[in-house]
Amino acid sequence: MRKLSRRSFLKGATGAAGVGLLAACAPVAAPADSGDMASDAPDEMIAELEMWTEMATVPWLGAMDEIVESFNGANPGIHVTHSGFSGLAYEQATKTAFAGGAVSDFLQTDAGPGALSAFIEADQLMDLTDVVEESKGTIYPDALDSVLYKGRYWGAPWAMTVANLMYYNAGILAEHGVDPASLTTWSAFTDACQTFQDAGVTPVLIGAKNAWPGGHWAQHLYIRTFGVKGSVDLFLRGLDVNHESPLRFTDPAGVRVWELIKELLDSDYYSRGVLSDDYPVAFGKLFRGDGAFFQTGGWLLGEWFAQESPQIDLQFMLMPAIDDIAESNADEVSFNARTLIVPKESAHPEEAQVFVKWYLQSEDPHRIWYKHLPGEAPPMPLSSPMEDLRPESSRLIDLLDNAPALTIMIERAMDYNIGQEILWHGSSGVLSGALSPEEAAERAENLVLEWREARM
Amino acid sequence: MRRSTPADGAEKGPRTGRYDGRFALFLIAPAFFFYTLFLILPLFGTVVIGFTDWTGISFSTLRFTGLENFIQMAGDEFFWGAFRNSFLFVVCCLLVQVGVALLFAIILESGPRYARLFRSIFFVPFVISLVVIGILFNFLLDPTIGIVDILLRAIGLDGPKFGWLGTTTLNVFVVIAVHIWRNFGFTMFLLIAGLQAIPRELQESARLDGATAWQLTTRITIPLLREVLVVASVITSIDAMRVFDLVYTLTGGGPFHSSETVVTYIYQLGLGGARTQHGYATAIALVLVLVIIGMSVLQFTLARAGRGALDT
Repeated sequence: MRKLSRRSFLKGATGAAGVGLLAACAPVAAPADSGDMASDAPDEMIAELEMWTEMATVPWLGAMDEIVESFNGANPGIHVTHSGFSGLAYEQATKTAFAGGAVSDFLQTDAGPGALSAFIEADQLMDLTDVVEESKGTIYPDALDSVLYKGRYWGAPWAMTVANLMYYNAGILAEHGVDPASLTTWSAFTDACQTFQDAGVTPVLIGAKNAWPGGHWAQHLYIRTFGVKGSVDLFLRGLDVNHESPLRFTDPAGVRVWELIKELLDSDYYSRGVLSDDYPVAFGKLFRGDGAFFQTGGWLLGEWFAQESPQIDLQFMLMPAIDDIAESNADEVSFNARTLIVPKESAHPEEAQVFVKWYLQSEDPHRIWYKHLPGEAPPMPLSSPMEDLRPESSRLIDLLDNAPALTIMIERAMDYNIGQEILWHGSSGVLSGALSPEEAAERAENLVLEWREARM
Repeated sequence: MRRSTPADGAEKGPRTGRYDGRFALFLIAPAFFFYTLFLILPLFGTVVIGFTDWTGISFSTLRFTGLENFIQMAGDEFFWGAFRNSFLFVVCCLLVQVGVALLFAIILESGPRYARLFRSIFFVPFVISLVVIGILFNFLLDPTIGIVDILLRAIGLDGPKFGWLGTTTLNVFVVIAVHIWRNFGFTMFLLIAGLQAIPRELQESARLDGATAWQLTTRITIPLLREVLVVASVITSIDAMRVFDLVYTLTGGGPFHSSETVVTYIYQLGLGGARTQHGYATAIALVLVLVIIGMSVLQFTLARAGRGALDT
């Protein structure tokens, strides 16, 4: 027998490991049709599909399970199994699964061209334009814009919610004689903040430790200073190198965004923990009655409705308009949404599109979702009103229905990498004093220019 | 089957040796296979990805960019900020964590009352999860409801306006302090083990020759503890260079990247939210590995040089 040298052994082991790695990275085999389990007859074979979402906890998980059950009941030839993964791990898990060719047949991700572009540019998503075109009559056109990239549709939107809300503690406002209906302008808002500060009440709670809550303030102020149309035009420069706009982040309206945030900071209207509280701590303080205002989206209602014995009277309004900007409109709405996408690697692309089509055309899934999560509205008008709907939920629908202009949150209208840097970290920079408003605006413009230059 | 003969016995030794070698290789093969599969190959993969603009989504779009990532790194102010913070971590931990651990180890080994109790007390933070410590200190240092600021206010003082973790000039030092508080018990245990290995006779004879406590410590204890001190320093500096959990739970690397370390920055770029700069993040990770290797080699080299000087 030939002697096995250490070198040969190492070569062999490395080779075997390489083969093992390739095997591990190979695309996962298509799940076996369970026809043999469900029925012996080939024409009754059932396609087994896997669906991933980030809905892993109550009430989201319950909603998804009911939706999937409803689909499976209505489509006897297809059986969908839902798996939920929570939090940031979901983003990472899906990216890794795409890279490893082991992604589910269809899955949920954030809506918005900026959120989808990385997957589309990597040639990982199925073009769903045909399915969406068939469904154009049922879904709100603005909701469809959230899955539009380079003229094609790439997903099915659902669970819209208003993002530019300003929550307030109605009890505190009433106690200090502030009429919430009057808070449609920035000056009225800051006057109210001053009233609260004089009375020893924290005017504005914010959990900017996470960076994104500060980023949301900034993006909603962009919508107020540039308007929906202008801000989308401005931010699209960071998504499409062919998109030209006369608008710049360094324009007076762009600098104004950061000046407004700085003014709130310098006036001590933000809570003491502005940069050390995270989002849950901040809304926890709001729910305990420790402050008057709190900016976030309709998703907070889920947390609010879960309160067994609410300690405050929580209400909301839209972010106020900026007084000295004529185009600033207090009714324009920025919304958030989720979306369903179908990977090109899907083992059952046609069946996955059946699900997507059902999602786009049927009210059932949206009614189920809305029943479990009344803070997130259907992306389509319902043929009959929901029963036992809470007034807050009806108001959200009204805000979406009556908005003169509507857009997906503009951080999702541009490449995520620079969107987060401009808005999330830009707001941290201004709040921490590391950036002046002018520097924040200039930095935003430079980030976009660098991004465009790298792709030209 | 051949029957054995007495002559076979003469060859048995060397043959057994070969057999033992192959058997040893056979025994380590499974572990080596998985080690190669999950460590060596990904390591090679990492080196390759560091020279690409990979988004982390599909290998089909992977594009080799040469040294572009490293050129970008050279001009990236946040990378240098993160690197400075990591370096600060290493220096503070080496000076304070190892220094305090050495002091406490010498004191506790000199035989005071309740030495065992104090050893346990100092070691307890090390066994607590870093995430739990992060959450705990978030509460303690909260500017409105945290006990630290409440106590300060009670004696007429005031904490920083944006809180200990939200003030950009302070937060790195606060995180370093928490890191040292958590880890110095472990370093102290390493040094106590080293102290216990020093022959008592040496100290006793020095004492008989009239050496003071200071002379005993500086001339006998510390020189004989050199090897353990080097190991403790290497472990401490690698640990400080790789710090992630505590920074992530206490400050998230913010505000405005002010408390970012190299590892949290790598996470932000490659894995944070929907960020897709895996190629660039991997290039930074490669630099981090080289820095850690360089740091360790430097420490061992200095220790060897010191030992050489001591021997002569």
